[in-house]
Amino acid sequence: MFALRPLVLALLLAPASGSAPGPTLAVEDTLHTEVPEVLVSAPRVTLDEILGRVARGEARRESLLTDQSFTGTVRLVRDVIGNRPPRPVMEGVWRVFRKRPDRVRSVLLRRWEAKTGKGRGGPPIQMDFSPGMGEDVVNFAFQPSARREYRYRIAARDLVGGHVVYRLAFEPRSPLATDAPRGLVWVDTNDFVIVREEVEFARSPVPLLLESIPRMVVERTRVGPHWVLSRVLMRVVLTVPMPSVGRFLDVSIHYDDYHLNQGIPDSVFVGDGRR
Amino acid sequence: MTRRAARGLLIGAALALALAGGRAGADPGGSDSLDTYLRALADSTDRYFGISAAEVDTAGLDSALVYRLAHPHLERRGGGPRFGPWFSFDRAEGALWGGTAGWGSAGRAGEISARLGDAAGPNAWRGGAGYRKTWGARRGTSPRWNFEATGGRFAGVLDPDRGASFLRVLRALGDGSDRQHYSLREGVRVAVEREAPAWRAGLALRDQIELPLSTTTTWNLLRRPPEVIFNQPAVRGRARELRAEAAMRLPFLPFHMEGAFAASAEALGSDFDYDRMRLILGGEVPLAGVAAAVPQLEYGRLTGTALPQASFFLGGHNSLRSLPAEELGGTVKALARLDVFFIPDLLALAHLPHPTALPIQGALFAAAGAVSGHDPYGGAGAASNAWPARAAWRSEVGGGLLYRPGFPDPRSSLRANWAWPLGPGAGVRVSLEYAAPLDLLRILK
Repeated sequence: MFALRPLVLALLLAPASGSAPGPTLAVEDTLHTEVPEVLVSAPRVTLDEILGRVARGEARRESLLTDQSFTGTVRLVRDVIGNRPPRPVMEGVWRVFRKRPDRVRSVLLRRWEAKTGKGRGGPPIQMDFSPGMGEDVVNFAFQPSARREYRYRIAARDLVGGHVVYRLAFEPRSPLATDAPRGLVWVDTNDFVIVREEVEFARSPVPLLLESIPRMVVERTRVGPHWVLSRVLMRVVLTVPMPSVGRFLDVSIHYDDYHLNQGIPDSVFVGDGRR
Repeated sequence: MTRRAARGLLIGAALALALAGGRAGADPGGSDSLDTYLRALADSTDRYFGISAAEVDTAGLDSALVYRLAHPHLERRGGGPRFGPWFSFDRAEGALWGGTAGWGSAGRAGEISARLGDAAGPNAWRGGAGYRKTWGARRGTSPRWNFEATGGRFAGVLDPDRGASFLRVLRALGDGSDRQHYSLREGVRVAVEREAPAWRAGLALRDQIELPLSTTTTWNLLRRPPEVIFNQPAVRGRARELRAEAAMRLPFLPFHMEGAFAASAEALGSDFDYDRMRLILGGEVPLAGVAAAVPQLEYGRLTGTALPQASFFLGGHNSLRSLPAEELGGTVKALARLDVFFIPDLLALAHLPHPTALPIQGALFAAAGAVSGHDPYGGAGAASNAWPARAAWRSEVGGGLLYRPGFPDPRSSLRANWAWPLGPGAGVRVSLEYAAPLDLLRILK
C-alpha cells in the first residue's frame, strides 16, 4: 500500500514532464529594487487649460513672425489607389513673400503639367496664397472662436526627450457640420504649438464630387525658434473619374526654404499683393 | 557589503552614468528627440503618400526667381475683369436676359460689380452697379468690416425677409408654380457691417423708389396655368429706410440670436412712416451623434404704415411648409419650428444599392405659426395686437428626404417635404426646397 504512493506520483508527473521538454528557464531573483511611492501634489492640467494654452501658443507663434518667404509647391498625383502606378499630373512651384500686416506676393517659378493625348491635361492651376501667417489649416479647431464648435479629448501623452507631447483629438459637436473635419493634433507642451495634425471627414463634405478623403496630414517643422508649415497632404477619392486627374488622387503642398523675419523690403510687394 | 548589495550598487551607478551621459550629449530641451519623433511620424506619411510626399526638385528655382523678379510683367495679376451671364424668370418680369461683370477683389482694393439685362415682360432694362470691400481677416477674435454700396433698378421679391433663389426661377419657368410676389426698386443702398466670430452688427441706409409690378408673363415650359396669376402690387413711393441688425451666439448654449430693426419716417425724407422689427432665435442640438434637433423661433412686427412690401408672410419652406409660399400676410408674425435631422444615409441603412454620391438623409418637423394685423392681400385682417390671436395659429407636422450635394453651400440640402396641417385644412402638401438647417438665421461662421 505504501509502495504505491511513489508510483502514483510518478504517473502524475510523467505527462507533465513529457509535454514540456527543453531548457529550464531561470528567474532572476538576486536583484531587488524598491522605489518609494511619490505623492504627486501638483495640480493636473485640465483639458480646458491645455486648450487655452494651445490657443495662446498658436497666437504667440504667429505674433513672432513679421515676415516670411518660402517655396511653396503644389503637386497633383493621380492613380494613387489601384493597380496602375501613381502618375504626377501637375506640379507648380512658387516663391511666396508675406509681410505684416497683410502683404503677400507669390512668384511662379516653375509649372509642369502632364501632357495627355489631346495636349495639356487641363487649365493651368492657379494658387492664391493668403497673406496671413497664422496657418489656419493647422489650428482651425483650436482657435478661441472654435472652442464651442468642437469637442476635444486627450488621446495620449508621449514623453519625448525633454518634451511632453499631447495628442488631442477633436471632432465637431454638431453632426450637421459635415464640412467640419475631425482629427488629431500633436501638441508640443514646451511651446504649446501644434506640430502635426491628421484630419478626416466622417462624411464627404461634397458628396456630389468627393466620395471620401481617406487621409489628410498636416506637418510642421521648426525653423530656428519658429514652427512653420512643412507639408499638407491629402488623399482624395472622387465619385466619378475626372478628365486628366482620374478618380484617386493626392493633393500635396510642400513648404520649403523658409526665411523668417529677414526684413523683406516693401519694394518686393510693389504692384502686387496688398490685401 | 554583501555581494548582492555591491552588484546593485554597480548597476545603479552604471545606469546613473548612462543617463547622465545621455543628457549631456543631447539638446537640453530634447529638441533632437522631438525631431526624431516627428521624423518617424513623417516617415509613415511618406510611406502612405509615396511620390506625393517626395521632396521637391529645387534645381533651377533660384535662377527662375531672379529672372521673375527682374521681369515682374510676366506675373499673372489677379483681379482681372470677370464676365458672366444673368438670367431670371418670373411672371412680373418675364424672361430676363443679361450679363454681369466684376473687377477686383473685396479683400484687396475692393470689388466692383455691375449687371445689365433686358426684362422681356415689361420690355425694360434692369441693371445697376455695386462696390464691396472688406477689411481684416475673420480669424480668431479679429473682427472683419464689410462695406457695400449698390445702386440701380432691380426687381425683387416682395417679402423683405426672402432673398434670391434659383428654385424660384425653376418653379416659375418650369410649371408656373412660383407663388411669390414682386416689386421694383430703384435707388441706392449703403451698408456697413462689423463681423466677429461671436457677434455681428450692421447698419444700412437705402433711398429707393418702390414701384409696383404687374403680371406680364403667364407661360411656362410645361404650359401649365400659373398657380398664382396676379402679382400683389407694392405701394408706390420713396422709401428712405435706416436698418440696424445684430446677431450673436448665446454664451454657453448652442444657439444664435438675430435681431433687425428698420425704420422709415418722414423725417428721413421718406414717403412712408413705419417701424419694422424682427427677432430670431435658433440653434443646433446634437442627439446621440446620429441626429440633430434644430429649433427656431421667429417674431416680427410692423407698426405704422402697413405696406405690402414691409409686411410679414407665412407659408413656404422658411415658415409653414403645409402652406403655399406667402399664402398669408400680416403686420405681426410668430413662428416656432422644430426640425430633427437624421444623419445616416437612409439608403445604406435599408441596404439599397446606390451611388456613393447620393446619400439620402431623413428629417421630421413640427411647426406652428401665425400672422395677424393688416392683411397685405386686402383681406379683413385682424386687430394689430403685439401677439397673434389664438384663432390665427396654424400648425403642422411632416417629414422630408434630403440630399446634400455639398455646394454651393456646404450645409444646404435639396429637400422634398411632406407636410400635414394639424386641424382643419387641406391634406398633405409636397414641396421642394434648397435650404440650410438653420434657414431663418444668417449663421455666424
